Amino acid sequence: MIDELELLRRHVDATVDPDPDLEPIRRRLMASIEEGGAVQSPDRRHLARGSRARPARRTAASVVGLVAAAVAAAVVAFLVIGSPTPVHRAPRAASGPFPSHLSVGRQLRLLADRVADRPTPHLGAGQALYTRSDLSVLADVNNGTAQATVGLSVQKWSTATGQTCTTLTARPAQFASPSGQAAWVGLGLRIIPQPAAASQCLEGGAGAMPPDAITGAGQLIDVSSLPSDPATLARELQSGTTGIPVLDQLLADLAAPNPGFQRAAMLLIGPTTGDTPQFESTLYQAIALLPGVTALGPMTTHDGASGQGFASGPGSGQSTIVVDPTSGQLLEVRGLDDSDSLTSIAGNYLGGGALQVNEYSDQLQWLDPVGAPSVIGLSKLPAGLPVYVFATTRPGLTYDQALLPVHRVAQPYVSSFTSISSEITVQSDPNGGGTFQWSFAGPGPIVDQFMRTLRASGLFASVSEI
Amino acid sequence: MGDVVGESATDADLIVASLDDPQEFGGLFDRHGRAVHRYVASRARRADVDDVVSETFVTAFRARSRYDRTYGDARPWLFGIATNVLRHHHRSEHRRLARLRAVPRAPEPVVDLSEGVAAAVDAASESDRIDRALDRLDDRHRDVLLLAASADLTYEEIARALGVPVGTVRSRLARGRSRLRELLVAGGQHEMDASTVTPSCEGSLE
Repeated sequence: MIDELELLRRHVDATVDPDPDLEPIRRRLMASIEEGGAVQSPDRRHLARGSRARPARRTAASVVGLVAAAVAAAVVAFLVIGSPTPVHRAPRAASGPFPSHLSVGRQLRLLADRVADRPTPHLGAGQALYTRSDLSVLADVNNGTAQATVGLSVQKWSTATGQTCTTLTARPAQFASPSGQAAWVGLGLRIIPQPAAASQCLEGGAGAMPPDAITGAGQLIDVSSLPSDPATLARELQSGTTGIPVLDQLLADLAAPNPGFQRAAMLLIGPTTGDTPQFESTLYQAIALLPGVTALGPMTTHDGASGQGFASGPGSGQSTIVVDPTSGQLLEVRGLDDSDSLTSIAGNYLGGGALQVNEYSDQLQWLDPVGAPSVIGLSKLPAGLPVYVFATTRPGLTYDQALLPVHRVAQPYVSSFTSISSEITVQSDPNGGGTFQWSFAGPGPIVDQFMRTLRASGLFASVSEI
Repeated sequence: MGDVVGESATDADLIVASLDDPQEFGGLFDRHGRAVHRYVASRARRADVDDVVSETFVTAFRARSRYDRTYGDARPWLFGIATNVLRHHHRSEHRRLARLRAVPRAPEPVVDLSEGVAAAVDAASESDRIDRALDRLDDRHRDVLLLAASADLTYEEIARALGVPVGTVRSRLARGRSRLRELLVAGGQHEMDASTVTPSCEGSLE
């Protein structure tokens, strides 16, 4: 019997050519070096995303992913415990819809004035920012063989350190016709995903990975490092050089029209930290400076709210935001290039029978933030968010020596664990110590008590929680 | 022209030398091209592998002036770039796995299959099952699992490759292994190593 890593090693050994012909690649590299020897200042985006030319506009074929590529994450039916405290938003300047004769730039600058004094959430230790959005996604399977509209509710809880937990809850798929439904089912797909919710938690930090999607497992975006000068911010948003991977890499392979507008919309969607009223004001001024932005006048969102519309450019097929002209709060986003909205939950649509799914794509149709971001205490986080405890044995205690006493220490807590694993720290050294890992279903006093017990046992050099 | 840096030179030495003489960068490929190729081949569509490897080294070449020379070994840096390039190609990666899924499973051996054929069928089925399980993993978990298993990087090296804290690597590896095990069990009752579960606690878990 072998463990997962060894299994993967053998799998790679068995499936990868052990003696590939590298000479053609070397020749190409050296040719590139000869041609590109003059490259003195590499583009940050090239480093992050590679240098291949992007398609001019995403097509159905270019956005394909896989239904089964989705993470069928451990599903927890979350209920928000307690009532989050809404962040009060008080307009400073005169409120109400904008007069139709105002230019788009003037409207956005007026909006910037109105948000300049608006309080923004401040996250302290022991707190989390809670946001919720409803959205609609068009899913296309096997290049038009089957299509469905999927409604999702996305809830996020983010701590000041950037750890973000996301829960997607899907509603039953909707079809344009009975034959459309038959095509969907005929591919082995469920109408109601099983389970209907998927949850995922990501660590934060400067090196954290970018999200799969705006609406997926996206992390908290720290905007404190963004420029306070609107022109500089507009330039960085447009070119994807903000230095925030979540923003810069999001659209790098799509060559979307007016990417600056889409990145600005993503900042409006959030969740963000380091936010100030001045930043929001700067953001609206920056949007005013983006090329091609147009005013759409009064608009009504899918849930009936009235707002002022702005588009990334003239004509159809543009990204659109609808904002409350009084508060500057985002009411709706439409047509955002977000082709991975379903990633975290798509696998839950797979039925148990024979699958005939080769590829799928999805397109966000609209997203409505529900309420304003709220700050809640960590003690009110939903039960079920995973907590991992790591403990590394003290020097001189071998893995084998540690196993039994560690088990005795952990035994009283076994019923609280969702998983247990352990490994020898230095695998090549039979006398090496070990790292033990326990996962809990949710935070709480039991975790603290368990960690105190581990530390008091004298078995471990370090005990940490992630 | 090129190759003036001796074999005892570190990767950092090679990279520094390539700032003056770009041809020296070829030495880095000679050292690590095969390892990067193996890693990329474990993740990308076969037709894309050479492109991804080439793009990885060209990207590294362009970024070499910002290489942190305190690290003598450039493998984590190269694998980190390869992972980013692969992410750009991730849809092709998924498509590769999609085709694997679309291929009908090998028929169960019914009668008189020689031992060799039966073993081959079992191996193909097992490989397919692992591909399916990998396919369903989150990108973050797949990254750390394959950097550990395919690229043979340590926790610290994976952390450097991905630009995340070591604790995050441990967390992702633990979750990734756990998730992979679940998927493998769900997909085919693969026998997993009991040593990855504290033995006497195992029976108590749900």
